[in-house]
Amino acid sequence: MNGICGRILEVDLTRRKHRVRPLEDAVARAYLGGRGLAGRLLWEGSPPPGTPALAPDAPLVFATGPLTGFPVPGASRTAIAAKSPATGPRSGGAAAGGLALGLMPGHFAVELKYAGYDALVIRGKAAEPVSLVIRDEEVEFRPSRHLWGREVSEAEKALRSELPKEPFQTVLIGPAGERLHPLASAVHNYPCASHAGRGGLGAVLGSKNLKAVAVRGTLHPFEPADHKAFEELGRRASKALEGWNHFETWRRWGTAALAEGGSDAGLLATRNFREGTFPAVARVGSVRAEAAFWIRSEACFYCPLHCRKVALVRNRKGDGVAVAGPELETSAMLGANCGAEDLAGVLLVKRRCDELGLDPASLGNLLGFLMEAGEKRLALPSELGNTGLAWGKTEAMLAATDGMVKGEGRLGQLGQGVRAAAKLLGGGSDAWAMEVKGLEMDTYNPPALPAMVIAFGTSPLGGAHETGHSREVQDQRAVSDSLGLCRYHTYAIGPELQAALLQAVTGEKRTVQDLVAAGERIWNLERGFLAREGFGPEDDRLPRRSKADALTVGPRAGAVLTAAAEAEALAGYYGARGWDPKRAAPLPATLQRLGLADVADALKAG
Amino acid sequence: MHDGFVPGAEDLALAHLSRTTRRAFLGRAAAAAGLWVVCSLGPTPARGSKDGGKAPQPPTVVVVDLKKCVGCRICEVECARKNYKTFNPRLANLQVIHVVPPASVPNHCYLCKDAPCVAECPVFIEAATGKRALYRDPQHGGLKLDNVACTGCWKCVDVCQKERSGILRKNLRSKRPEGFCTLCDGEPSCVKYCPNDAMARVPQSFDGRHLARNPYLIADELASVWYR
Repeated sequence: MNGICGRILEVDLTRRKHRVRPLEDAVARAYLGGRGLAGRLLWEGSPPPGTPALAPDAPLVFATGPLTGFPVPGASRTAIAAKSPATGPRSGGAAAGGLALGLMPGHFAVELKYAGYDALVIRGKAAEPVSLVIRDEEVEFRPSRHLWGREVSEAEKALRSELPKEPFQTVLIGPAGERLHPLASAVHNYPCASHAGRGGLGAVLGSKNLKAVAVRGTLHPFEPADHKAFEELGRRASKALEGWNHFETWRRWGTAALAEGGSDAGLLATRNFREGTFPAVARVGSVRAEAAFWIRSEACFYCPLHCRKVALVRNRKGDGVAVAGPELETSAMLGANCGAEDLAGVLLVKRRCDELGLDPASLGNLLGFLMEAGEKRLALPSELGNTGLAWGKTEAMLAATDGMVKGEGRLGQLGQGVRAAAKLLGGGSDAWAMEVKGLEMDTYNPPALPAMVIAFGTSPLGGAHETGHSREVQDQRAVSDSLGLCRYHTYAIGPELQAALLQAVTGEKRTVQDLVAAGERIWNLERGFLAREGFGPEDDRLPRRSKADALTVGPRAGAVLTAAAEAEALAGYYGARGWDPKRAAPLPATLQRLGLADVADALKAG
Repeated sequence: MHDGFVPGAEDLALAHLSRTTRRAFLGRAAAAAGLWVVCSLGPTPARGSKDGGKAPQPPTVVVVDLKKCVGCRICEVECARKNYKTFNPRLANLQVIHVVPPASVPNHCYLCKDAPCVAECPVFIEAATGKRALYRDPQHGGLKLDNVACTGCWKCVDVCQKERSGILRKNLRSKRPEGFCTLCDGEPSCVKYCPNDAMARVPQSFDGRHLARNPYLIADELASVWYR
């Protein structure tokens, strides 16, 4: 099949061996690539359920899509997947875990594909810290004891100084990942601190003693099956993007524009999800950021949107610091959700996340939770490390972040995620521990938009806002994530154009219906993964606050979800999906229809 | 220059910018040279001729406004697409360098006025004009390589890497150097497709040693100044 390399690189860190195995066309046809391929490889390659996520046998998958590397705007996302060390079913054992999935923007996937690989599967645990350096066919295990313990940008600089002066693309972990912190992310520094964040992917790298992956590809010949058709379609995709009515908004203000928009619509997570509108949103939103902080933009591969913004702020010593952001998640979770109005302070916290390798969205949720616990005198100041953590105190947020990653004392225990913190604090705090499946909810607050019951409740990651708020959107996003496309571009590059592009690249007839079926297959496979780990319908429920505390300010004041409405929405969703409502898992007939007989067998056995 | 004209410092400096090197422009028609002097001294950049590219164009080079560059690599892809009919940007004549803290520098061939790469080329293909295997295309001013005559001695690559931007590279498979700017026969694709107008085609004025600096040095310098 054209468009894919047909090669999967398998690396065993324990034995320091690697091999290339073929990617069968049938798998590429059924799962497309990217998120779908990563999910499939994870399903096949995982040790039996009950093996801890941080066990050496657990695979870590990087995958590219069929459109990756071709001049299609937005075909730049790297799918990174592993069993999550951060999530788990409410009733499950300690070793059960959900899916950790990062769709990391930037230039990494493109480089991996130019090196000739559709996917990279990493297993095992190195005896001492290593970095994996891939240059086309060469795979090097580079001893990296001297990088261990260093923060991301410093470690990257040191690693690059040892490599040939060539445009390598890298993914690194910081001290958080090394210490197996459940909020740890993997960071890709081009265009500017993109995180493969959610679900503790950084800890998975850390558990393998893997500090960094660097890739450089030069050799792979790269041709679509139908050159002429692709030329025309690629240009059409670029034109469509330029014609998107938010094209200029996105270029100028990036995702952060949704902070002001979300707050005005009553949707923005504010003060630990107590409200949907942040009165001071203008202080942490995109317009102020652009006027006062942003000095330039950076872009992912072949993307004219350049939505990644670089801010210049001054630290306490008065030195300039470059910070990626704020993006929507930064403004929402480190700003509004922590009641913070001081954007410079918020950006310095974001900078700590980039350096420590920490998911800023989950961190903002956890800090908001601890602020509320402090306000309610459920957590004493000494338990919060005497950092003075309270609403809007950005200096304290910085200190608490460092303390949580260091992991010492009570603050270190409370820093292991919102679910763990609520368990430690007790006192009914689980009602406002805003997590689903153990993953901290982010960015949007559900009461003003009942569809978020589906988005947060059924996402394979847990409380992640972006995987889709309805069955149709979920399938569409599973497709675009698997093609390697950025989610923002799907506003302009719709399913028809995606199918036509895929057909031109692979040379195989693909219709919109095919793609929808692939999206449904991917979504059901991911749910199968969760069901195999023991997740049930109770794990699809939102925390009590969403159904108890009505919003009090903003345009949607008074809005609250009800348990009945939630149950009804989920029941309707399970029915439409062909899932068993008692297990919240696909019925055997559904799996058979989608060609997932092996998933059906595994679930039956379980 | 009329009688009695005494050039001042500005006149001499500007004249230096519009100075050609004997080597690069041997055989250029006097009329074309006159046109070029006028264009390169005038305030408006030459944007490519309107007559279908028939008449020799004034020498131009592609330059980058690094403040506008966002490192998207569209220029790389479009260069590969135009010059090599492929989508793999690693074969392009441009190469974008990223550094942390974020600065992006598209490294490319600046068609150095003094062209040390051409000067180093040991293979003469036309004794009368002194034309070498690596030569300037008289029509558009881009660099061209006679793939048959070239012996793959890498002298052009070595001098570029040592003294200039280092964009010239050894293609070990074809045994030929690559990375020369061809100016895309008069309509540079990198300029045409840059979404931020970071790239422009301007009259050649500075010597290559001013423009074609090592991109890693430029990037580190930018990063240290921008985020001070």
